[in-house]
Amino acid sequence: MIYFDISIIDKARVNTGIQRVAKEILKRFIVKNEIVFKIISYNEIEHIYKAIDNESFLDFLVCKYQKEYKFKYLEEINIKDFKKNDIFFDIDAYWNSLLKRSYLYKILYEKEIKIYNIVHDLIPIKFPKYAFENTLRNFIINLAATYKYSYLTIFPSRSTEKDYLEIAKQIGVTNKLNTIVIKWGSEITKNISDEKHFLLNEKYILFVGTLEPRKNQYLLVKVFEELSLKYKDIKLVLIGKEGWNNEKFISYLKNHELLNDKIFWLNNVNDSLLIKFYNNAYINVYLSEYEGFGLPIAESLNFNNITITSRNSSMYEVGKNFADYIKYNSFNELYEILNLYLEDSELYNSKKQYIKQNYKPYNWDMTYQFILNSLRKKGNLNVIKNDKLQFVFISIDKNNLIGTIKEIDKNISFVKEYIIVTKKEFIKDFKTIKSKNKISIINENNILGKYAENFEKRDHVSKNWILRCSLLNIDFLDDEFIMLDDDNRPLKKINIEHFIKDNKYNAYYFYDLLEWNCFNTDYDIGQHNMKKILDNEGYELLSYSSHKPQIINKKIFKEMVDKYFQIGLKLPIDEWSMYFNYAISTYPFLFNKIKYDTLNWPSHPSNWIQMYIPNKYEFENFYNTNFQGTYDEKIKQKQKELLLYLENQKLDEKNSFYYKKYNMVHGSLVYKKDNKKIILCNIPYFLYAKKGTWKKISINYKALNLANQDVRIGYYINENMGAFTNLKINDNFIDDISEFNVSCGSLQEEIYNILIDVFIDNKPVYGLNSKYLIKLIVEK
Amino acid sequence: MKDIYKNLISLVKKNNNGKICYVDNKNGIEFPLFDFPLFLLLAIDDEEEFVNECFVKILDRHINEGNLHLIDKLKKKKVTKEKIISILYSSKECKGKGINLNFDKKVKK
Repeated sequence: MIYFDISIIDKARVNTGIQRVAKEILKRFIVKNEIVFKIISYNEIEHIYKAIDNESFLDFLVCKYQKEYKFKYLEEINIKDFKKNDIFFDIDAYWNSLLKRSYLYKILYEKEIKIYNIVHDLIPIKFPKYAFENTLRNFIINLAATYKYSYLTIFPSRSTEKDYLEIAKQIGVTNKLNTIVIKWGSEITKNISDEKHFLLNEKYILFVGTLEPRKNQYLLVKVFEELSLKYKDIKLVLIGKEGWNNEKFISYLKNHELLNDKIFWLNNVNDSLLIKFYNNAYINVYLSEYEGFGLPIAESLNFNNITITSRNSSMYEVGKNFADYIKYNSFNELYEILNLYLEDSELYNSKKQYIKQNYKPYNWDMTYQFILNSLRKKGNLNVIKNDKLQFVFISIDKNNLIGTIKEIDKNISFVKEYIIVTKKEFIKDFKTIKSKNKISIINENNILGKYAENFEKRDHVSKNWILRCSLLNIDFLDDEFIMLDDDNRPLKKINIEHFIKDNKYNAYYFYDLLEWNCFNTDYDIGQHNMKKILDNEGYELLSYSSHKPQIINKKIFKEMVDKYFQIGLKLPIDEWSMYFNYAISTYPFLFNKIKYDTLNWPSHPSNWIQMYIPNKYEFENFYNTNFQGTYDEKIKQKQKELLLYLENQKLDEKNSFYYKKYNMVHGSLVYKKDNKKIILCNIPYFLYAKKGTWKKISINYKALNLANQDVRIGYYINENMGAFTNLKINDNFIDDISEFNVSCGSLQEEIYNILIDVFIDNKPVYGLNSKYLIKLIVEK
Repeated sequence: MKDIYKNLISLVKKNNNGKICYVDNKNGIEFPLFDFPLFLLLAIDDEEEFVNECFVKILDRHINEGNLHLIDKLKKKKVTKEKIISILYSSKECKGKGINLNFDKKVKK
């Protein structure tokens, strides 16, 4: 039996984000009726759970006065009545319950009842100053119990999942944590009521959210004070109740000379009027310092609103390239982006249109389906656990292959055989490769079938996709196999637990796909394509092309191929991330998600901004140019190379504080040529870099009327031309993020003037007349 | 679990410039508020901690300003531990929450 505990909804009858999530999910469990479950509420006076009639719960959802609604209770359930293998699902704000989980979970765990949790956010732990003290106290107790006893912990964003795992590391949690990201639906019914409010006819900037320090309304009010001097017709509307610990701002607001003239605070707006305010807003702003998901961003985008928000925690996962981000929460950034949209109607209309045409909110049916998957027992699939495994290569490089097979023979004892898929012309030569293990060589045309035609004309990523999908046509391919490239070499002894542990498959990731901001190669384009495809499905978004061998379950691989093969014929996508994200989102209990351990991926730390740094190195992405030597020497060399780049990243983290505090950020850099326009955002006034490195920062760019033109960001350093960063612009309006690269390879320790410019079809827009100056401080 | 709890507290404190509100004594967190062993409260020697712990276990909230004097009184022995428990336990607030103490000397964990 599955038990959903909704004690807090029953007791408090409030309608915060958490309660809304629980209601949307449970509504679908009742209506779709695909699994047996009970909704239960703990009676704190009688000390017993009571089951709630499902129909009664549905009535509650639609009744006008939820506070007064009386549930129809069915049978009573004592904690002792829960049975082995039952599922206890904490879907509500359980830390507010008097039934402390430190007590309850221990009992359930001892009875082998599986505990499911949703951790909506970790605000009390990460930002205790924003938490009400009693909430903080209870949150700590209940979170400790979650770490200790949870069978599966669900998060609405990768950001919250990462925080949870990071905290686990900091506090020394040693038990295995099963986690999964399931995004919240955020579609809303736009029933526009006939309610009226005089502000609805005005041009206003809207901020919806409790007035509390974490939401940072103060910054918006300060910016608005300046804007209102320039734009006489614009108003600011703050909708939200007075929050905790915000007396200073409330007093400032209440005594503001613009209050009720240009600034309006509405603290009691019902849902239907709120929808009208969203619908009529000129621009929406949301500046929270931390969110577990960020529903207000999704809600605003649902109304095709220009949505300006802070760039932290989960915000980008929700707003992606549809929202505008204030990366450092500085005055300049907010002022200038608002100013841009207020003065540039073409930009404003293009962005609105872009949101309208492309933004798709996650939906609640999707959320429900993923939760349902997680409750079903592994979808009738199990890890097979063969003693020996096939290692399946695709290769056209004999020398690489010989070297890799030699290293595998030396370090891996569980090879059943090597299967090498290659071109017809290489088969004879490949047959001379020697190994202590059996080698089977396959002509790629035999498995490609009709896709052999024109195969050579395809790009590298698409070739890999088609060929790897075609592995399923190998009739002697085992149900579980290792998939790898001919340059994936073990650096040390590897046992089978590297791939299968605790009855689960290990899946090694190296990046968060949403954060992949390079546009230089087919591989990069593949990452961007895949991000969109996976995101549309609501799957997790990690990049698994970690350039190391990974274990594949043939049945799941076939499911993925059946579903996405055709897409991969049209767009470059990579098989690793398609497979693992599909598989993990569909069968969460079959996989351990693990940070990768590949040396030389990337081949050099300057290739992209490092997101995850391996704790240990067990495989090598082999290049002839790699540093040669013993294992220890190779690691030492790599760490030395990496160190400067990690220091660069640390410098950025440190300087972020000063960028915000002293407002040291360019708001927007605007480049215009005829009707063409490029706007760059998130560029600080100064950058620190270590000598000998490439300095890399991620910036936002917006491009108008530049479809398919060659556009690059460049810079002049002390009046000499510097490096370029290519931008991908394939439409008349593009809003995206790119890494901006500054070469410090040959620079001495000094302070340099950097003039940032944009180049369209190789021609500079401003040249040395660019007014956008930053200081580059190169240090030892 | 007590270690995880203890370490979480340290982390929160670190994230809050070394400050934290009163948090429950780790020895009692695995007991239910509906059957909380009295002896665990009485075993707390420090007067301030004792009063704070009584509030979180009997009323599930922090001590309010109006009751801070209880700490001082306890320190000066103008009131006993038992009396403080009795005051809180017989309060309307406690009864409304359904919290119970266990008066047995030994409670099976």
